Amino acid sequence: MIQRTPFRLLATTLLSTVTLVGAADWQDISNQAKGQTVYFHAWGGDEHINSYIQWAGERVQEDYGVTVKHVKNVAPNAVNQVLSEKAAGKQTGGAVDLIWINGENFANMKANDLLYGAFTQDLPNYRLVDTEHKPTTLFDFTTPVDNLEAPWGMAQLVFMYDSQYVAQAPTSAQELLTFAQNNPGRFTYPALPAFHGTTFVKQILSELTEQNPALYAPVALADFDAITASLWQYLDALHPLMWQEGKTFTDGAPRMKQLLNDGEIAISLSFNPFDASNAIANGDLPDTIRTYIHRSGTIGNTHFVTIPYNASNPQGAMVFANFLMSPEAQARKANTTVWGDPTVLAMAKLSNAQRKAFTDLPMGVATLSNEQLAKVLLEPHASWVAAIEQAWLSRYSQ
Amino acid sequence: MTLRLSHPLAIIPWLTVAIFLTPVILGLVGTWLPAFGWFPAIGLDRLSLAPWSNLFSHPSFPGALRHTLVTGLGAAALALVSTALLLIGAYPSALFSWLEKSLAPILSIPHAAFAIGMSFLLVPSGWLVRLLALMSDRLDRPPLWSTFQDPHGISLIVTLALKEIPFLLLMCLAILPTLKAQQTLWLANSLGHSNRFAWLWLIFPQLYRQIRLPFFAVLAYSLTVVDIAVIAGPTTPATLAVLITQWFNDPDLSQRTVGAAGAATLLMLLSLIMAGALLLENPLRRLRSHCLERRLSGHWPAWEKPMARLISFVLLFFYAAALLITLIWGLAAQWRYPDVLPSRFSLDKVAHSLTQLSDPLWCTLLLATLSALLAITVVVGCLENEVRLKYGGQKVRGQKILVLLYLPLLIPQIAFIFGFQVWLIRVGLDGTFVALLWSHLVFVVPYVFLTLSGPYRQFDDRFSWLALSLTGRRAHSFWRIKLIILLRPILYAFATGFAVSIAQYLPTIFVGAGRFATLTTEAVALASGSDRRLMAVMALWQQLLPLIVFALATLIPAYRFRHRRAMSQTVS
Repeated sequence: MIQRTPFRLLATTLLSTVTLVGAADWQDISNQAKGQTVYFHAWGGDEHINSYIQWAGERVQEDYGVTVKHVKNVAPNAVNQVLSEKAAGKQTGGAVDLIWINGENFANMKANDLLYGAFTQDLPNYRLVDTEHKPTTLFDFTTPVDNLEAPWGMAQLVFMYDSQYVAQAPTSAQELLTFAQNNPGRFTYPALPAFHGTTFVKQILSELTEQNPALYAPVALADFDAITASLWQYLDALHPLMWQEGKTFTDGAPRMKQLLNDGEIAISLSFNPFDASNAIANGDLPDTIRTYIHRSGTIGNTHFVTIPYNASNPQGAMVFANFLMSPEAQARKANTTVWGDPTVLAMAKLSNAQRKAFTDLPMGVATLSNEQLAKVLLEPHASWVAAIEQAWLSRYSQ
Repeated sequence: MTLRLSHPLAIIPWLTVAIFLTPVILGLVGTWLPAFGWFPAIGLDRLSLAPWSNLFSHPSFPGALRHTLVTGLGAAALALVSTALLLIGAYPSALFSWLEKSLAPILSIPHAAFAIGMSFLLVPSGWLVRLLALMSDRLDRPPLWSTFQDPHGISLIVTLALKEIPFLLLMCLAILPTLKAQQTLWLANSLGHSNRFAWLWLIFPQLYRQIRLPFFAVLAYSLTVVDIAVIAGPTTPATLAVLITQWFNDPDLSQRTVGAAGAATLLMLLSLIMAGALLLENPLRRLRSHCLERRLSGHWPAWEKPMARLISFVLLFFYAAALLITLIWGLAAQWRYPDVLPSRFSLDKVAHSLTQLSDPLWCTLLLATLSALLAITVVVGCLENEVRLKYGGQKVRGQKILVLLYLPLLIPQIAFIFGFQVWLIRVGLDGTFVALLWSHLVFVVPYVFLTLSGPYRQFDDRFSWLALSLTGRRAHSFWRIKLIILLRPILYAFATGFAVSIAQYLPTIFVGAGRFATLTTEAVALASGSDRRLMAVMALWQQLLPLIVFALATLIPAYRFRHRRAMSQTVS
């Protein structure tokens, strides 16, 4: 990756002058993109998301002559593909052009020089992103984004409960424990290191320590045992009251959604605030499901798309990433009957007509209002994840 | 070493092994190097033992190892004992021939779909409890029972064994006629011995030697399986194979070295267990002689018959129920506890799948057909060479190396796919159809060999001689007589190879570099979501193709030989 570094330096120094040169660059990029085929590696577990990607691919074909192939992959497989190519010394012509990526994978790809370089500064629609009020568009999983990935949607930890069985949703960690005491066996969370499980544990830790400032600095600087003592005490009390007495865990949020539908659990969690409404709309969940978040707020972040270092069609990938950030694509994505994924754009930066596309969207019965979702907790520093996972596995997975 | 290449067939076993072992060896090298800390792509370029110490000190390692041993050995043993009981208690009988006829549809059910079907039967909100709930008013919510994914791995053992029994039965069925099992039973009976006596002391010792390799494949599968273990296995911790997969997929790229050490450990563990099984054979043989001399065979009542009935019932019940449930989920719109049937039905998911599947369907068909055809050609070539050597008065030495063909079945896929992929990229073959086909063949060839070698070796060569003496043409006697007589096992081997190709996920995604979508890659992608209806539809699609091919493998010979009574049944 040494040969790419000068480029990145150059890109960073050019950042300040981007508004001047951006337009010309963009013209170049979209000219080069014409006729390219972009292999977009993205999770393929949801037919609505798959259909949305198909639609977006057809739109960039119309507007830019770029063909998009959705490789229904899981993120680690795409990272593994890039890694294999790195191991084999394939510096260009890689199989992956664009990846839908989570924060952990991004941080590691960035650290191992597996990314293409700064590119979002050249994309016209990036200027519409709400970087001021949505700080996670600049810090993915506390790692500086540095224009290496394009924000695609907003995520926030929300809980879903079945109002048929739960009269009053618990809105704090302590109330959740009380709920479990009164309803043993009706809550669970995914085993770490599954992403949703780790997020849940981080949420509880943030709440119990009242967002101890040490969480937002490298874990090496903190007294890990002292800060996490209350967390383990809490989980020790919670686990015997969980589904399968905390001896068996699920492998992720999709499986928990099934358990919620089956009535085995009454409270589940998701990283998409619109998830419940979307699932009700397509029959995945009954219409008695509602969403809530904890009073202190919940962990939120942004999900992104990025280009690997050796992409064969980086210009095509940029054109597609740009389209995914367009008001048209973002408004369609936010529609709960299509996908239901919150936008990364700033309403204030949009024209009236563009804004109207968002305000006209149906709300969905189980969606919280923007005010209710306003309390977003920041992720603890990325270094906490490995420490928490290790400690959790030592305690609960031996 | 002198290699006689006087005959074009002579080179086939060597060529076969070379072609199909290359990926495994390249792949293993590519995995063992990272296990010793060599992984320049992420800046690790000094050999070290750190991956091993990280592996052994990982909090979940001891538990995962325990789970792997208990479930892997438990499932393989349960499958072997159940198969033996089925044979003692029911071979030959009406029940058995019924079981035999059900083998094809049973074998064509994808592993994951079967495990999901099992889970939907057994979980506390599953079908069985829903049926109970019809009769009881205390089950208005799913009970807090632990009936699936139990922390001890019992549900995993049962699910795996149920998946392996049909395979072992199929292997036994191919071999029993060569052992003259039927005649042995008659003889033993006429001498006043029970069926149990005949099986235990006369048939099993020979049978085991013949199905040793398939049994080892079952053992390896039980110890290294990932997809079923994720669905039916314990979670805290999961089995070693699942953990290894997690490490290979960990966002922290250095965890791949731990995964590599884990994969190497699993391979060594497996080798140890197989060596142990081989070493036990001799003492067991001596024990058998000892028991026979002392007449310690015992005279318990014949409990094998009811046991065989019970096993057949359990087997057929779970497969039928898993299939039925998959079918119903595919047609459901909404289905909640405690409804025994969906509250609403819909064809939406089927319709949706149709719009998505045309490309994957063709790719799957092409891959599966080509790999099964090529595998049959290669395997028949190897087996014909064996016949040639037998009558050429030469030792069948070259043939011995064919045992190596089974290596891919004995090594966890994740342990060498990554290394193979790196090598393919290096030579510029990654993402090509040829490489993808090659990677499928690595797994298809051993299964085809396993299925075909028994019946092929059992062929009565006098038919060939007779044909040769009548026509004077070797080719004629081979194509018109031998292959036709062997049509049934060849088609069955084709169907097996076809099904194996369809089931491949990791090779398709890695070697194919994401360029080729198959029914299985689409199904696995959707299985990572929450929509059971779509998962069910995809599982049905995945199952349909092998089922059609298995049905053809049964129907074509039946039609072709409809006027030939002696050909109407290959198994006595």
